Amino acid sequence: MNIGQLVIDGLVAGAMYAIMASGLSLVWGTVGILNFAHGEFYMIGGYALYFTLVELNANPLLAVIAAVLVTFGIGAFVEMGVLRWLLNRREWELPTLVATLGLSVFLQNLALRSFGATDKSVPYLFHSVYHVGRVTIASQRVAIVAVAVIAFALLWGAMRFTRFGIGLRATAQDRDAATLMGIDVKKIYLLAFAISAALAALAATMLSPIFSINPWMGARPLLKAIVVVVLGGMGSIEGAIIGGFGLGIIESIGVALVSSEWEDVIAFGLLILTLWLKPSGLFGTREA
Amino acid sequence: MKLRPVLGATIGGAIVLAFLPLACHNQYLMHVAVIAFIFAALTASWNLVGGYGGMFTFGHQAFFGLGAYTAALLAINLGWSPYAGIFAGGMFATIAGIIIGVPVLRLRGAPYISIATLAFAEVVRIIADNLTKLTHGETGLVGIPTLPSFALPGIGQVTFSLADSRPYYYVSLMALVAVLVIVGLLLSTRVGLALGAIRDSPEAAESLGVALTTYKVLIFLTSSFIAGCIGGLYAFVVSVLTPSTVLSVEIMVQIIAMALIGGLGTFFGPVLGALILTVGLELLRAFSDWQLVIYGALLVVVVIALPGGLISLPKRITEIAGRIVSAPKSRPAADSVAISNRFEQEKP
Amino acid sequence: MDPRQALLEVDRIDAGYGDVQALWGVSLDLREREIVALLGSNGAGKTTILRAISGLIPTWGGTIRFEGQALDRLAPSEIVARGVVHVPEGRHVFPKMTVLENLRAGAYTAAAWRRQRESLAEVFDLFPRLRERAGQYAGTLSGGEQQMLAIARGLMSGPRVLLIDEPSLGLAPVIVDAVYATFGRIRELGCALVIVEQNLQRALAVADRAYVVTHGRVTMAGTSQQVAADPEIRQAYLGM
Repeated sequence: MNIGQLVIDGLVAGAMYAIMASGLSLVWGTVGILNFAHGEFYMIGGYALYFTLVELNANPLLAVIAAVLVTFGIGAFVEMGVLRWLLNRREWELPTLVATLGLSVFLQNLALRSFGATDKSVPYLFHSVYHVGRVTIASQRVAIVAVAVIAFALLWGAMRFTRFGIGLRATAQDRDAATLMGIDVKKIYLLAFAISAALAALAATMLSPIFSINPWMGARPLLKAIVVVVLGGMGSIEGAIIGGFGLGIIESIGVALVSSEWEDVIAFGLLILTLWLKPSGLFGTREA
Repeated sequence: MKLRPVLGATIGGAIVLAFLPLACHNQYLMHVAVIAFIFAALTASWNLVGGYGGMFTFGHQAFFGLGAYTAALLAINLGWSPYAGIFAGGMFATIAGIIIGVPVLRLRGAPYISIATLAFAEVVRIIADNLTKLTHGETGLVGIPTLPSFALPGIGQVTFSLADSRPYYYVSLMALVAVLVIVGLLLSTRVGLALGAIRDSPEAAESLGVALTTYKVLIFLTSSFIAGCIGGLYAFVVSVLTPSTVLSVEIMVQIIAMALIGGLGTFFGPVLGALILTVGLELLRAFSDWQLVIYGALLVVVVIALPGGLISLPKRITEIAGRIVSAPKSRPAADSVAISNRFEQEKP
Repeated sequence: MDPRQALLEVDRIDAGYGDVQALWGVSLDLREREIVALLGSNGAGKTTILRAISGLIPTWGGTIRFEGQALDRLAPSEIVARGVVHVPEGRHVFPKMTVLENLRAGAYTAAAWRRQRESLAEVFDLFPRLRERAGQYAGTLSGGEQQMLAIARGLMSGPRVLLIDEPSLGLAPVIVDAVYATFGRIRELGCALVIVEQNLQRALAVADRAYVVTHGRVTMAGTSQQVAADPEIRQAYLGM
């Protein structure tokens, strides 16, 4: 068993889990809802990349940026068009859950209707392969981890130092007090949601060359992201990052021990175990 | 919820529906109705937990599928009678309910129960998928026998076959009635009162000595049992089972859609929702690709515009009409809150 | 008749929560460099009045004006930008943010954000203890320090009116002294205060004028001396 290879593979998968999860956690911590349509933002990012890169033949970097921006916009649109109506209600938890569920079904099938069921593929953005000792790693995968690290650094910096970041953290910790500071909570929600959609799209742009693009491509990333968010603690971005990499590595080693069919069972088992024993996760901010 | 009128309406509705096959001989329609009744019963069982109980579980399909596979496998491999198999399916589902319920039902906060039960259902599905020697996975478990034929006085021999949906129609209708009666009886007891308290204010309920978790578990297991039995019945109706048809998240989405569109936490909401969506889905077969697109959009629209579901439509219309007629003051609507709803829990 | 302009005018407002009315025809005003006390027992509606002013709840009738301009249809963020800030009951500091970050959150509005440094300097001057604890998480501060932080945070946007809800709640008398000592200096900095208090004596000692609120209505108004001397008040609150 090549432990080095397993860990590297796990880190790569984990990087993507972490990006997906941090978006989910951002919305959960700030707005307080679990966005069941998060996987569909991943899917939209994938298709957006396909169209800009393959159909429009754009420069890869521009294509990635375009995909992320388009999804950011769609995320904002969804928040304004759907969620905003529900968040002010006294009973908002269940309706928002159901609304995101409905959105998920709607978007998946809209994509199916618009683009068809056949997989679309996107070429690798980077082509070389590195060998370090017993470990082989494609530069595409190195790029994945690098992009993730940069994204997290930017996110962390934004949270700590920018006006928006402080406003968002304040809203997450005490929405009513934040309102009294003059923080426009509605705008914070909008931005948080749009950023989380953009993060999902970013993950998709990195992973689409490896996996393929189809209307249901967001389902597994969503489930994995949910597991990570529970492991790391809902609302905690550090938790999402650590949980993401952690899950990636655990899965990678676990699958080598058992078999790939049971990969998801490992993740789900961890989730149930966490909810049973320590519902708030590693760094959780919300109580179960 | 008053028991007698509700039961009366149930029986009355069933009697009306019983005449349908006599008037209409369309086999296709019968078949659609069978599926509608089964899903209505399934949704009603979930509504007990998710609507009345306020526990938004997301893994009800696990009980449905476990019941289906149990009943089917017992009939195929051990020659059990379908009805015994259905009961066994219910029991097996209940055991599964205990396994996931005990650790998870004490969780508060909407998404946690949803996520845990979703994960559980997915694990069940993956296991069913992987145990191909037993379940045949996606190739399909075939060879499920039909329900046994029996003799009815005045009508003669009643056989179940793929040719004639009418016996299935009556069996599934009776199953639906049975489920509604059980749910109604349960809700009319102390359990129903406790549920109302739990759903509206868990803290207050707890302080009044209501053993929260016990009631939650009771409701959950009852609903799991019912779902398992319905699953068993389903196996003998469709004769082929695959994990993606009886254990998938799609089933859960349909259940939620039916419950919500009909009216969450109401007695007849699930039935209304199931009937409308099943029939509607069939009507939309012309736009088969758009079916689910409309489904999803409908879910969003209903949750925003008609949160009480279609059953609340009359009330909502009178509400809106009343608001238009009476002079509007500068008072905001009762259920919308200016900025903050958390402040309202504090003293003024 | 006081020649000073009314800074904040609340004119016969009705307000409530959901369907339940809590305020009936409440009027009060606040002039520049004034300290006004809102007195009354628990549940009388004092906090509701503050929430109506700061925009957290809508008014059902009547008007609220600040510097002559209507306030009652504005969003809370706009009200803060205009210069009216509400320091809520129970402190509500952001527990997982440091003292410094809490203060910066208080300067969220665009204009305030630009003059953060100056505001910080002023605020640390008023509350030296906060400067000592600038890097500490607000959730770990003592009650008195949290109260000071809440007030300091409110001052960060450079308001002309500060609405303070129950500053003495749950604090030891010595700490309350320290908190109240800052009110005079805040007034000097050009900020008028409305203080909601259940502790009558404290409030009347520092305020120029006072209103007594009972069951959602203003039942008495006058200078502090007038209110303090009133026999009904003395009996109800001071037990004399």
